Amino acid sequence: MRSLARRRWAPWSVITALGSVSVPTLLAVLALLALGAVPRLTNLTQAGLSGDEAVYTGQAALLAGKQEFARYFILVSRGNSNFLLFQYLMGGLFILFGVNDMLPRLISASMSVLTLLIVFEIGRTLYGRAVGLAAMFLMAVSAYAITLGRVALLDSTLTLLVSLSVLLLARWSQGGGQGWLLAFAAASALAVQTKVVGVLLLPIAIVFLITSGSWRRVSRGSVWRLALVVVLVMAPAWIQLALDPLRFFALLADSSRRVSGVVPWYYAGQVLEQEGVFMPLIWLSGAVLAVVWHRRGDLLLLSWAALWLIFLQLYPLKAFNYLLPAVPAFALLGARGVFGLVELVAVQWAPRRNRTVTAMRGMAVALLLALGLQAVGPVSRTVAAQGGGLREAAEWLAAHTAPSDGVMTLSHGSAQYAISFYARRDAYPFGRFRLATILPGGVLVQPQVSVKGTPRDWVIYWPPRLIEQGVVSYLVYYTAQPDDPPESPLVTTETQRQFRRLIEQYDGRLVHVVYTNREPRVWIYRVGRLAPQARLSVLKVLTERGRVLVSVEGSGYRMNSPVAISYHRTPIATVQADDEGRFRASLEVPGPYRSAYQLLATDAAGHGALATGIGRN
Amino acid sequence: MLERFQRWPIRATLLLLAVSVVASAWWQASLGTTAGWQASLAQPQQIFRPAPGWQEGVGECRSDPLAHVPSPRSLDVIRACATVAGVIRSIDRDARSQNLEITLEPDPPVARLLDPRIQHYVRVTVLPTDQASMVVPPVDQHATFFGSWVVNRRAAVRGTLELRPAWLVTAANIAGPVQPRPTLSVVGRLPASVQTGSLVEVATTVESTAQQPAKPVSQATVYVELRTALGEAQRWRATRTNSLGTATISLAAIEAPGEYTLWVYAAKGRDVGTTQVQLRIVRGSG
Repeated sequence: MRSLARRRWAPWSVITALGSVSVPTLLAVLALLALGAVPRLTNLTQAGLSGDEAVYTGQAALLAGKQEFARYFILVSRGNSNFLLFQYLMGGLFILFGVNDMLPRLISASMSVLTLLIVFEIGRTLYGRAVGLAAMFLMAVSAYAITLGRVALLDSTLTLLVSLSVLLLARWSQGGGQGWLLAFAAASALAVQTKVVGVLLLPIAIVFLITSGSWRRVSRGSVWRLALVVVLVMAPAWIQLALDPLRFFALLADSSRRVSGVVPWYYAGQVLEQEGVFMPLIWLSGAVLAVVWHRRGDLLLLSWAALWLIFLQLYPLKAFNYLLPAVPAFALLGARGVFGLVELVAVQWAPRRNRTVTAMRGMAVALLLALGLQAVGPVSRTVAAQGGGLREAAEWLAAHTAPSDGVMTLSHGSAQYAISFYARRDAYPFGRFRLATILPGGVLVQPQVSVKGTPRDWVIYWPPRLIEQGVVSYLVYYTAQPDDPPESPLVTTETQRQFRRLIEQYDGRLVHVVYTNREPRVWIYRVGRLAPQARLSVLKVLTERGRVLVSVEGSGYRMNSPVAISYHRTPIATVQADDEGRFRASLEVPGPYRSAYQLLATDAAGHGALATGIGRN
Repeated sequence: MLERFQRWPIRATLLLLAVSVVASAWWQASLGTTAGWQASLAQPQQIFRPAPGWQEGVGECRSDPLAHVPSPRSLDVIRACATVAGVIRSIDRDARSQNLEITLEPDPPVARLLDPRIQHYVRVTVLPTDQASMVVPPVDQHATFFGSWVVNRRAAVRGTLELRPAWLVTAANIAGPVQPRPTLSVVGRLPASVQTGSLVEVATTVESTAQQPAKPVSQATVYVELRTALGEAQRWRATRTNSLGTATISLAAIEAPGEYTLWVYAAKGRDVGTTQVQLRIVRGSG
């Protein structure tokens, strides 16, 4: 193994290295690959694509030449999070296999499975076969890694490339030639294009070089060569930047100000919720022991884990998926910690008891297996998790609505794109978020900055206007409740309450419900009127031979509803509102007449408006 | 390879591991799940800050200070019963909630409790259900309000201190509460059973029984509260009757399936009336 690491650079040496392992090791690697692959690949399309997944898939479809997606998606990241590398990969496969919602997740899951191999190889390079296998096992049963491996987000691909970069750096640090370092630069550049946060590989490498003293092996010429490789491999990103720099920097300026209002221990909570207690405990213990032991390999993994964590903790925007690229580092540290402790105890006790080493190693394996058993719960929950039902809602909309009907749904910025992707309908968000929105047709709308916090233009400004102009005809409410939630409230957030209020104000009539596991998850409403309040205006008052005739105009009533009109509590007429909820009528008003008496018009739903001023005071 | 470990005492590493286990277990036990602690943050909480005292002898302190308050989870109760005196600077009726929103310039003892970077005045809220028993003095008059001293956590107001709700007021010419007259007949009509998510139209008719025959009451405040089988208020809505004495409130029944009670309260001046209607929300067929 060590001689392999000291070889000069050969691009195929990573692959041949795997071929150099013993048969039992190879069998163990294959078994662990299968162990990791099953939960990552099972029931991949049980739930439909989420908003972000739909965005990446729509962009990939566009890259594959499917122009029907051009109305809903543009080839730029609204959050400046990536340079479309993942989408190009997906687009290439779409050309071969056609656009579907299975392929994006298959790519992501494959990346997640391949990461297991990289983790094994890092562990083997730095510490030996046992640690490599144990780290691979920890990654294989990590519920957090599985959850993100099953979705078509960028993180699995980023994690693969980050791990690969670290492996290449590790090979170089173990005495490999400059080629390993250049390969590290190339892999890092690819990671950056997958997701911009991959740029953290640079400080990780610098901290490692300084703390390990390896910087002495980097000549000035090497630095120039590294820079050249990065510039060349990043060429697609430079081209994207050059094509529309103004839009890029406008999006960058806005997205970089996004802030998540979460508790400081947000990531710890997410990991505990996903993994349970034991996996994070092993990670943490491994990290602590690596700090204590601080070998060269430890320094590399600690730089990786610590810098990623520090960045995430300092970066004001938090998200569940951001931690994934650091998980291989923790898995490696955890595995190294377990086996390091075994060796330590063995050294202490071996002179007295010869069998202790074997026993302790057995205990380490047993500990890992126990951890695997403990992971069954989180992993099975992950695999069985149902989606929000937006795909099914979109399919219903595609089948039962006109192509010109617009749809609005609860969104943190992206959920509406799932509807656009599946239903090919113009879809709009409802929610508070600081992210640009691509309107159908490709118009990009920047969020309006608010001194009171997250922009509210997709709660207050746009929704009423789009409904009143008839652009939005359907409202889609969904809940993210877990299974069987009969006692849990279905409306919990302020945005959900406001959307429910919107449904009530615009007389949303329930037209379809999507059930998951027999529980209602998504409700589709047809907008019933175009204004939140009915209006009644008296256009003209004519007095002829003691009779009073008035011309009135109403708006904001239920569409196609009868409207009952009364004057001072006396019914005088029933008119019909048109398909925009408007009416015009000329009415004879019975006496006596008083200016304060009310002319009242009420539709079938009880929406009413009044007018006064007919007659004298 | 093994000799490097001998530099570090085994006890130290085992101790580190043990401390990690204990700390992790303690953390998990004390906080419960993530959902648990997030939920605990969302609940109205009793918090400890300086607050105005309660002036005895005028009225009673309520056992549930946030009863009938819409969205009580946005409020933290500092003192359930507090008395705040000052000069009324404005009185407005919120068209959506039908609350009376009073801006009070507090007397110095209370003014000292306010953070001048956040507020100079105290907002006093009188709920529709309390308005019939209160005679609110006009603007620029000195008055003393009795209610719950809370901090409003809504992002839009950024932690202002408020008296919400206030259920009693005294002034130079107002000794205390007035007795409401239960002379309004309230009838609420809605389907007995609806599917989860359906839009429920709650049609309410308010008539005055002070004279016979009963007459429709226009411009009466109608307040509707949807309660679970356990009596917890889930929804709050308010409106006013039209000239026919009717008011319709649309409620999207996006609620967990179950039995609910719709409590309807109507008031105009000192005349009040209430009714209750049962509503079953069913899951529907999936």
